[in-house]
Amino acid sequence: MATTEGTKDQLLALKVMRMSRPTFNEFASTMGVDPADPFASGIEKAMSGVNGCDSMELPVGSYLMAPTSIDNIYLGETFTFYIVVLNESEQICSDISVKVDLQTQTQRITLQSKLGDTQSELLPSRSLGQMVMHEIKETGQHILVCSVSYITNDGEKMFFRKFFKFPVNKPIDVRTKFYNAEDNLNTDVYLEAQIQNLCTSSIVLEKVQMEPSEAYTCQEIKPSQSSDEFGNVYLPPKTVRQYLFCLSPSTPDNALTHYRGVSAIGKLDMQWRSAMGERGRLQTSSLQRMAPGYGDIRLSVEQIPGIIPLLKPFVIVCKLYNCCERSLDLILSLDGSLQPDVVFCSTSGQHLGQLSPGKSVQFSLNAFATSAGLQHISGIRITDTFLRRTYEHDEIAQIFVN
Amino acid sequence: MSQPSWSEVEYLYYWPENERLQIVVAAQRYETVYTMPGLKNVESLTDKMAYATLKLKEVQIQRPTVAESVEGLKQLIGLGHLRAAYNLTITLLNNYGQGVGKAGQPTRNTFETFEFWSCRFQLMMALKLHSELLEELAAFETLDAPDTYFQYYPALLQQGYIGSIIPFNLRMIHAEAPRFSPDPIESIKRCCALEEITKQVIDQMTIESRSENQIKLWKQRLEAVKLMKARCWYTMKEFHQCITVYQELLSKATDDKRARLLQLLLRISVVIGDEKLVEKFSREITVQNSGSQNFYLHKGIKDSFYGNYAKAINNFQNAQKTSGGLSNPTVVNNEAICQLYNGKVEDARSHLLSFSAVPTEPIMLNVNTISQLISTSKDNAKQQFLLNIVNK
Repeated sequence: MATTEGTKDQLLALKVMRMSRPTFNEFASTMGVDPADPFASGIEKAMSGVNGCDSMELPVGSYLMAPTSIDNIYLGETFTFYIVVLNESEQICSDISVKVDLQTQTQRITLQSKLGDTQSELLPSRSLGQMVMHEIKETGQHILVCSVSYITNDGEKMFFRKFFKFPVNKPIDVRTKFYNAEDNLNTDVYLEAQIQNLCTSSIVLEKVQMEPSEAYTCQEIKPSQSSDEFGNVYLPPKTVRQYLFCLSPSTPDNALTHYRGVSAIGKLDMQWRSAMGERGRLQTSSLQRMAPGYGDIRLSVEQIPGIIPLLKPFVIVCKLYNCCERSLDLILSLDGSLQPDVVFCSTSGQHLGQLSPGKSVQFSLNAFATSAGLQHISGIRITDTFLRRTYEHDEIAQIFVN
Repeated sequence: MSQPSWSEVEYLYYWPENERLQIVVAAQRYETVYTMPGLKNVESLTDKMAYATLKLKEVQIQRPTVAESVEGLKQLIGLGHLRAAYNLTITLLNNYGQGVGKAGQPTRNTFETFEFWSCRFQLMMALKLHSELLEELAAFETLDAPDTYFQYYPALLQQGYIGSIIPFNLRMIHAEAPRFSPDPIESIKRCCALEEITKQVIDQMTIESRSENQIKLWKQRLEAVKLMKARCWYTMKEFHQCITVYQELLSKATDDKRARLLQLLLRISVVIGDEKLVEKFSREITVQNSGSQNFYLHKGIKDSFYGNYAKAINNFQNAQKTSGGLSNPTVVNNEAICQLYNGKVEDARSHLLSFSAVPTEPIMLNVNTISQLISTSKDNAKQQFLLNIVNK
């Protein structure tokens, strides 16, 4: 993983240790111990000096261990490493300067290094080191470029570079689905977010939050069991967890044109931890939603009684929105043949007037029901005289007749 | 030292009869040998410590010579010479006719041979000879053959011996060993089966109004089996199953065992990376342990979970104060590692090297790792450290 560039034999050496979280020592020598066994207790005692633990029955110890292997690093995590310059020679080296850059797919970032002090001097067998941290914001191949310059005892200027390559992968995959609760009464949108763990080991999801755009307010729909007793959401590799959010439009209804076409719903913010408490955090880019097409006009029911007595007249208040780019000249007609059990009392053929783009008009309908039970309201016909087009609206609402 | 009478030790071998045995006893068929073990690995283990001492100090360590018997084994184990004890099991099993080539061949199984096998397998677990262990365990099959009972040997039955000849520790190793094979779930199945029978024994002994000591021993055995099941879940990374077993044990544990189990649960929560569980177990430890060494140890571990290494160092230093100086290897080690993560590498190494007693394996590993980072090829500190160990 490391390559060096620099001619001549160098007096100084550079080493880098990736400081992934310290792990606990795991016992390879474990065994069940029967207190009555003639050998077991003796063996356990003999192993205690080696293991540093007086029991052979535990799987994991309490010793923190310095990192020995290089683990994968993922987008959203913090890359922590210790960089050290060692004087392997017998002479004093001076004017030591260390520059540390991180080369990603798209840019070269200079990392903070206090080892760039030109006054510094390094005695033989001594070392100069520093912990460096950097939040990983890109995937793909990363190269840590460490450049060291110094002056030998004889005044000779020396320079060398060392490269450390490592890949950065995506830790989680997010898939989103939108569900429209929109019927004529409800304008909520439901967002289902599926989060999949792409890491090679398990992670624990601490926080998955939806940050809505200005146009919406958001509420998470959580399962009922969410006591702290069960811990956070544990996600083994490749498993998926689903989250559900309810997004309600925050602006008043008559700005419905805002929801046409593509609209920005918001961003998903995710925080997790992996083994030994290593943190990670990612935010999605703005999630986009394609609003369902309403066509040129949209009918919504503003007021309607839920339960209606038989043969008693009732009023339905409706609103018509002009969702298209042109003015409309509208006539309301009523077709009573589709619902034999509900009779319209209003006049058919009522002229509703001209409607500009983005505007709405309200109208009332009088009707009464002739039979009991759950009935639909259908048969609303809106005709645009400019283009001679008729829009049909059936089953716009339901009533219960008793 | 006299041998205990059968009535004194009978409860240790208590084991319910199974159908296989009953069928054979009813038919009075005692000729078949079902359990046919034999040695497969007979290379003597070298004495690594003696070799290292010879190289570093040019001093030859002599290991004591002991009798070729169970007593000899106990002596070697008591002195910590586990490799020598393992080599002795080879000799003993050869002497009793169950050496190389005997696996699968009918030989004479006796009380002594089962004891030697039990000792040998325990040593193999300690010395991490897991694949060799699995090879030699195969001949014991499911440990429920008729010839694993005293009742199968008419001469023994006449003298009143009943129960299983198989030492309980051997049963435990047989249950745990698949953990090291490609099929670790088999170990869970075996642990559950062993747990079931152990519970049956306890229930039966309670009905028979056995003495408190006898039932207590079997309850300790049950605990050991549960600990083993938890270990097997841990190996398979089924951490939540593992935690469930420990919580079962927690509900019945005495105070000191409770403290140890809670510390273990805290560590497992840290391994998982679950902050809620870390906080939960941390709260329970705090309630139990205010002011003691364990109290600061767990706080230090919690701080390192959050990456607060400076705070962790403080807590480990407090832990040392309550244990009387630099004597607890865990605390010394953890403080040093936190110094490392705090950027003080030289301090970390010198702290580890300052440990006064014989360093444990984790400390040695850490010294090695840190030395690789900051030692030049001429560095003597590590050499000196090793020499000091050998001197002790």
